[in-house]
Amino acid sequence: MNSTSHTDSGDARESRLVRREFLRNTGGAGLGMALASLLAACGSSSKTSSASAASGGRTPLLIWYWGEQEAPGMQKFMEQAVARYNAQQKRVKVTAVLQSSDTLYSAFATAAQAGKGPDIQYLWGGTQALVDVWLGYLAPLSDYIDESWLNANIPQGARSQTYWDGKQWGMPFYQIGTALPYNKKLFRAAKLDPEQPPTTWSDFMAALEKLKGTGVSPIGLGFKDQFLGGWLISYFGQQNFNSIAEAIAPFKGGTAYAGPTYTEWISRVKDLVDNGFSNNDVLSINLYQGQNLFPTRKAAIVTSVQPQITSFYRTMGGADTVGVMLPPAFGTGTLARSFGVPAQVLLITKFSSHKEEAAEFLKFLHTPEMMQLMYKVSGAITPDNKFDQAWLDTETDKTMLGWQKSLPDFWYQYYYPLQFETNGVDPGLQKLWEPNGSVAGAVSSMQSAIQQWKNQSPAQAQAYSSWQLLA
Amino acid sequence: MIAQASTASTEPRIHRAVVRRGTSRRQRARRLAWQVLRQIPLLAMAVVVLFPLYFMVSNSLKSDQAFAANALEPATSPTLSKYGHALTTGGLARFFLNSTIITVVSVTVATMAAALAAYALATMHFRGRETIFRVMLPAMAIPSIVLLVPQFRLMTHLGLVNTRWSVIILYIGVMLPLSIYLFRNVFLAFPRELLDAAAIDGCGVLSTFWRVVVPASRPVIVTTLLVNTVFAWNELLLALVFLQSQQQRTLVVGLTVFSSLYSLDVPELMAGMTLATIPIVAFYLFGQRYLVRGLMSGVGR
Amino acid sequence: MRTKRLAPYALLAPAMALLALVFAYPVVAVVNQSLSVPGLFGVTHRGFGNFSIIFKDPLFWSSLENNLKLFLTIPFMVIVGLLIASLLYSRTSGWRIYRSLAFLPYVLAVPVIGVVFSYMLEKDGVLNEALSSVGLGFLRHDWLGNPSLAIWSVAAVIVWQQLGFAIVLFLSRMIAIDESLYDAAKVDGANSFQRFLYITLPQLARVIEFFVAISFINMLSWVFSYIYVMTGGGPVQKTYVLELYVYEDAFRNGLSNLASAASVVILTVATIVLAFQAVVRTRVDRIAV
Repeated sequence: MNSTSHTDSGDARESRLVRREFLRNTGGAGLGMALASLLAACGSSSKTSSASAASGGRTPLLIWYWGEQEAPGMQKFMEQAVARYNAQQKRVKVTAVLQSSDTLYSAFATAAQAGKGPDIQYLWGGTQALVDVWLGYLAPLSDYIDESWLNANIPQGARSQTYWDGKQWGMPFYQIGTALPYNKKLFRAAKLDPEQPPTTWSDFMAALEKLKGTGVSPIGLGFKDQFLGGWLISYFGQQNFNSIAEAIAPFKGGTAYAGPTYTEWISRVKDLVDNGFSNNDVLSINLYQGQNLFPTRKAAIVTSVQPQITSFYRTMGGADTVGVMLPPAFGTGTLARSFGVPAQVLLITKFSSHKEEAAEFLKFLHTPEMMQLMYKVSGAITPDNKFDQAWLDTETDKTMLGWQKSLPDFWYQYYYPLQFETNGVDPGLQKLWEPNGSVAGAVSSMQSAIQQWKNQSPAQAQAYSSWQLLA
Repeated sequence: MIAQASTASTEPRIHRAVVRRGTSRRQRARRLAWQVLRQIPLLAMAVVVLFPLYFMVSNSLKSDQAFAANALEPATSPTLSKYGHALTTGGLARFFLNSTIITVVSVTVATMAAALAAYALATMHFRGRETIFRVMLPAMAIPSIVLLVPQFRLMTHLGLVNTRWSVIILYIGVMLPLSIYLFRNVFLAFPRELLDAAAIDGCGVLSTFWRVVVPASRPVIVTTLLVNTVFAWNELLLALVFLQSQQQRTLVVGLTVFSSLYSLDVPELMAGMTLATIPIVAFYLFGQRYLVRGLMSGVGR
Repeated sequence: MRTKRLAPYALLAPAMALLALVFAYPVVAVVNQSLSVPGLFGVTHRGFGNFSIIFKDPLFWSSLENNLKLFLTIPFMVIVGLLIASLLYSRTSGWRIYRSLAFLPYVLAVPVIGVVFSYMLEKDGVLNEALSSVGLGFLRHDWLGNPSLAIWSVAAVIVWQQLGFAIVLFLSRMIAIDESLYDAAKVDGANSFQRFLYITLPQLARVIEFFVAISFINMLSWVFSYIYVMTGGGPVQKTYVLELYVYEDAFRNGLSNLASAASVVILTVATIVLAFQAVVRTRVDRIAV
C-alpha cells in the first residue's frame, strides 16, 4: 500500500512542472476557445429571435434597478409603473429586476464587460455613475432626448451631477434630499424648542449637551458598513466653499486637500465624538441600524434622506413628533447654508439595442401620473420641475421642497471619486472613534487617498480634469 | 475489598475504564473525575456550535417587541407570524427548486466525471498522466472572484447567462479538482490483483470500473458527494452574478437579497435564515448514517 | 488494442473538457489583462505597470497580511480537532450526539452564518450580554468594531465552521486504525500519550497533511463571503483580504486591470503554497503509515 512510488521523482519534477504550468494552460486554453467557438455557433444565432419571441413579438426592454432600501415601496412603484406602461402601448414590453445592494454594481460591471445586459441601468448618481460613463459602458441621454425637454423638465442641480463632456448622461430617477430629522418630543423633554431647531454650530452643540442629559443618544450613527463617511463629509465638508468648482479642485489637480477651507469640518466631527454625542457602538452597527435608532426613540437626531424622513413622519405621529433641520452652519462659505439633493439616476447602456425605446420609457417616468404614484407609494420625489408641491402630504416634505427652491444644491459625495471616500474619508473618520484617532491622521488619510487614486486611475483623473460643470 | 477484587476478575470485561486491578473508592473517584473532565471540551464544543443556531431559531419566533426587549432569552410567547411573512414573500418554492436542480445535476455529473478521470489517472499508464494531474490540481486554489469576468464573457458568448446551465457548468468545473484528488488517492491504493482478476474475467475498462472499483469505494464516494453537495447548495458568488432573474435564483441568493431588504427586522430575517437552513440540515441529519458508515472504512489515505 | 490505448483519454475527456472551459480560458484571460496597462487617452500598453501600482498600495499588503493571519488558525484547528476527535474516539458518553453536532456548522451557508454572527457580535449584542450574565463581563469587546480585533473575530467564525471538517476527517481515520496495535503497545507499557504519539499520529499524518493543505487554500481563496458579510473590509479597512481587494477594484472602482494583477498574485501565491505542500507531502509519506 505504498503510494510513494507514484511520486518517485517527487520534488524536482514538482517545481519544473509548476513553472511549466502556464504554458500548459495555454494549450488548454486553445482547447477551451475551440470548444467555445464551436458552441457559440449554436448559441448566439437563436438568442435575439428567442428574446423577442418570449415577449410576444414586442421589443423587450430590461431594467436593473435599486431603491427599495432607500425608499421603501420603490419596488411596488416600479412594478405598477411597468405594468401600466406595458398595458398602455403594445410596441415595447418592459421587465424590471430589483437588485440588492451587493449585486447592483458587480452585476453591472460584469455584464458591461461582457457586452450584454440590461437596456436601462440604475446607478447611484454623480461620480458613482460617471465612473461607468468614463469606462464607456453607457450611452448619453442627450443623444436621445432633446436638450429643450431636459432644460424644461429636469432641475439644474440634478442635471449637473451627471453632466459631463457637454452631454447629459443620467436621467434623474428619484431624489433623496438629505437632512437631519429630529424627534420633537425628545427635544421638548430636553427643554429645547421643538419648532426652532439650532441653526448655528454653537447652538447645535448646546442642544446636544441638553439631549445627552436626558439619557438618549443625541445623534444616532452607524459606521460599520463604511457608508457614513460619505454622509458626514457631505453634511459638513463643503461649508467653507463658495462654489462647486472649489470643492472639486483637489481632484482636478493643483490644489491640496489641506487647510481649514477643506478640513475644518473634521475637527467639528471630532468635537461631536469627543463630547460623547453619538451612540457608543458606532463602529459596530451598520448605517441603517444607526438610522433605526430614530424610530426606536434611542436617538434624538439621525442622518437621513427625504423618503425615509417621510416614512418616519407617517409612522411616528406626524408633525407632533418628527421635524427636520439642516446641518448647522459653522463655515463661512456660500455653501455653508446649502441643501444636498442627490439624485439617483437611470442610464441607457452602451450595448442596448433599444436605446430610443429606453429613452421613451424614461420620459414616461416623468409624467405627472407616474410622479404622483411614486410619491404616494414610496414617499420619494421625482427630480422634475413639474413636481407639484400640492402633492406633498407631510410637513417635512414641504419644508424640504422649500429649501430646495431657495438654497444652493450641493452633495459632495456625488462630486468626488469613490476611492477618495473608501480609502480616505471612511477609514480616516472611523479612526476618530478610536482612542488614538486624530484630525491630522484623518486628513493625511484623505490626502493619500487622492494621491493613490491619481496614480491608480490615470484615465479617471484625466476625465475628471476635463469636467466642465453645468452649474 | 478482597471480595470485590475477586468478583472484578470473574465478571466479564464490560467497560475498560471501570475494570482494573482494584476498584478502590479513590480510584473510582479518579475514574469519575476523568470522565467529567473529558466531557468538558465536548460540552464546550456543543455550546459553541448550538449557541448561534439557538440565537437564530429563538429570535425567529419572537415579535419585534419581544426581540427588542431581550435578544438573549428564548422566546417566551413564540409566534409564527414572521415565518408566515417570510414564506409569502414570494419565490421561496422556486428558489428551492432551482437550488435542488442545480445541486443534483452538478454534483452527479461532477462526481461521475471525477471518478472516471481519477480511475484513468490512478490505474492506467499513459503519456501525460502525472502532468495532467499536477496541472489540474492548482485549479482548486483559484478563488471564484478572480475568474468571474472572463467566465461571464464566456457564458455570454455561449448564450447561457441567466440559465441554470451556466452555473451548473461552473460548479462542475470547480468541484472537479478536489473530487479527482480524493478519488485518485483511494484508487491508487486499490489492490492491483482485483483489477487484473477482472481483466482476466473478460471485463472491459468500464465494466471493471462499475463492477469492481465503484462498489468497493463507497467511503470516498460518500465523502465526495457530501462535500460537493454542501458546496453547490451553499455557493453564493457565482449564483449571484450568473442568475439574474427571480425565476432562476437559488435559495442562498434569494436569502442574501432577502437579508439586505430586511436587515432591520431581525426576527423576520432569522425566520428566513431558518427556512433556508432547514433543507440542508435535514439532508445532513438524514444522510449522516450513510456518511458514518461510509467513512468507517477510512478516508484520505 | 487501439481502443485500449485511447481508453484513458476517453475517461479523462469529460473532466478535461469542463476544466478547460471553466478554468483554462479564464485564467489566460486574466493573466493577459494583468499585463495590459491603461494609460491616458484610452491607450493601453503591455507591461508590468499594474503590478508596480498594486505593490505600492498599502491596502494590498495589509490584505495579504490578513490572509497570512488567517493561516495562523490552522495549527489551532489541527490541535483542537485532534483533541475532540480523540475524545469522540474513546466513546465518551454522548459521543454520537457530539459527533453530529461537530459537523453541523460545516453544512450551513456562509451568508447565514455571517449574518447571524454579525448580530451576535455587536457591541451590545448577545455574546457580550451572555458574557455579562455569567459574570464574565470583563471579557466584553467590540468584536467587529474594534480594528485590531475584527479580523480575529472573523477568523473565529471561519474556525467555527471548518473545525467540524477536521474532526470528522481525523475521527474516521482513527476508527480505521487497527486496535491490536494499541493493545500491543499497552502490553509494552506505553501510556496513553505515548500511544497517541507513536501510533495514532503516524497513522493520521496523511490526513492531517491533507487537512492543512485544504485549509491553506481555503484561507487564501475561499474566505471572501465571510469578510464581505461580516465587516465589508472594515473597520478602518483593517479586515481586507486579497479576494476583497480584487472585488473592490474590479467591481467598485472600475479598475479591472489592477484587479487582474492582484488576481495573478493570488494565483502565484496559491501555486507556491501547493508546490510547498507537495514537498511536505513526500516528507510526511516517509513517517506515515
